[in-house]
Amino acid sequence: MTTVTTTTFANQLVSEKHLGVLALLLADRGSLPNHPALIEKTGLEGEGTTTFKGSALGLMGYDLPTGYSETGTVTSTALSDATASLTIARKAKLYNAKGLARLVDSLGVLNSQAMAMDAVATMNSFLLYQVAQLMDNFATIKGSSGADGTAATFLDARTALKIAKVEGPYLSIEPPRLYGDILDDVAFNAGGSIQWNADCQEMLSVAKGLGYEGNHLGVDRYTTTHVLDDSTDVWGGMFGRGAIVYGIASPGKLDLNADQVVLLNRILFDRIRDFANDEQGWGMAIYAGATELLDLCGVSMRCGRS
Amino acid sequence: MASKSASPFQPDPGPQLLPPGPAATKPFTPKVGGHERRTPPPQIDRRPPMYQMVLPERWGLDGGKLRPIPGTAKLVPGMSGVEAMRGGGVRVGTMLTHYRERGWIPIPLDTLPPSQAHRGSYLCEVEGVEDTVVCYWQQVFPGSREFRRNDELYYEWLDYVVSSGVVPPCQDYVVARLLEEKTAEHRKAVDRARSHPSWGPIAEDLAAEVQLLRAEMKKRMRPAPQGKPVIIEEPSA
Repeated sequence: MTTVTTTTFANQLVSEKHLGVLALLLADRGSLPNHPALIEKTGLEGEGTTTFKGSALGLMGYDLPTGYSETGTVTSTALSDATASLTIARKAKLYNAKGLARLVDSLGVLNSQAMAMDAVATMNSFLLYQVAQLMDNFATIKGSSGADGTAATFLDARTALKIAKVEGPYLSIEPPRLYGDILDDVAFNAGGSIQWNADCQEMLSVAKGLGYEGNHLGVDRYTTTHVLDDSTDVWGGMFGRGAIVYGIASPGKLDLNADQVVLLNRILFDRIRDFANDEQGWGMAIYAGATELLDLCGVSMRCGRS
Repeated sequence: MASKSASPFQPDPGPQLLPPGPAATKPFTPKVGGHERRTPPPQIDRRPPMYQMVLPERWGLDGGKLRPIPGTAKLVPGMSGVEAMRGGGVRVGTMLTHYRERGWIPIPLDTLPPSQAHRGSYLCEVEGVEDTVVCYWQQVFPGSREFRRNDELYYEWLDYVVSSGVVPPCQDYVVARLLEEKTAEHRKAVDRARSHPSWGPIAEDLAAEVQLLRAEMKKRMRPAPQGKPVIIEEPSA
């Protein structure tokens, strides 16, 4: 008697079939909404340059009047100012797929819709990356090298901003390690004496972007791994309006052809067809940049990386 | 001896298809996915090249000594004025001006202590990982996400940056400010250690740091600089 087994029946079996489960590989997919602490500049097209100047002026009560005698002559007050250059550059990526691969694709990802969604997510993540990479460069630092972050690190940063006369609301961009350390410290040592309005999955919270952890003492807190890891410490930062300026040009001003689409008025999405090689490409490009404007509007925070 | 000439009556053998002896071979390593026994590359995230830079006000205690706390200027087009250049390089003039205007001192890439001068730059590419650049005192490991600092190499470099005059020494007022901050931290840590014994070692570490800063302050005690006197005119009687 011969029993049928998977071995004897091998010719009639397929080697593998897709499970129907699709998980995303791990990546930092956070995004920053247009938070009031960030200055976003659009309309950078057609200006004849890739470099722009951001200005800050000492007006609206910056200088207080000086006392003079009745016959004294008033001396001229210097108008204080500060400036920073914002440079935009092209950021792009391209996926290519052969016609046969697209034909047999059972996941439904080798098509323009999926690639356009990826382009939008990529832009959001990149804008967060740009801002996060600037967090370690504020002159004021809170937290000690190699040590755990504490609630005091967070409170000291907030106090430093208040002392520097920075307008709220504040935005805090933290590595998950720092966020976790502070949370531990709050839970372990401070009990309920510190206000905590944790993210509660409400619809409103969705609008705050991926990576939003909640509002703590009036500071919107985000976590991301896009911040600097210097092999001893991981760095984050807390800042108010004026610290960071970012700009993004709209590709809509380009002379687009039929295969180009502008997504969200920010992304150039391009479908590239190469018939001779049976290849379809999907390209995305953004023209963006970020820079610090007023250093005192931000505080760097650090903690040991492990 | 007369040479043999080919007989016009014998058929031409043509190219020899089966030479005597074994066929030639060359080394071949098949790609066998997960079973490949080869040193895997480090698993760290991509890191752009970065200038190290120092702000004369950003000092702290590191490795039991007063040292600057460097910042980093990322050489990424679009960040703080960095521009892309034709051919793949970056133009950093605007970025360097941007940071210098804010008091930073970007440290030239070839600033290296004599023992490391052969490197030519304090930046190194990580082999096997695309677009990933670290400093020579930073260590990555095959197949691992681990990323560590070699303190000995780092302190040697940082101390050289100060001793060679690339950055000015720590100012007295910065030491005084650090002493105030550490003293306050120490007091809080002592308070906490009373209810949470795990804070005991932290309080001890902070006490040592306060001592170190006090000693540094004592070394620097000098008479205050004489400024222009401020004259307040009293109303005439």
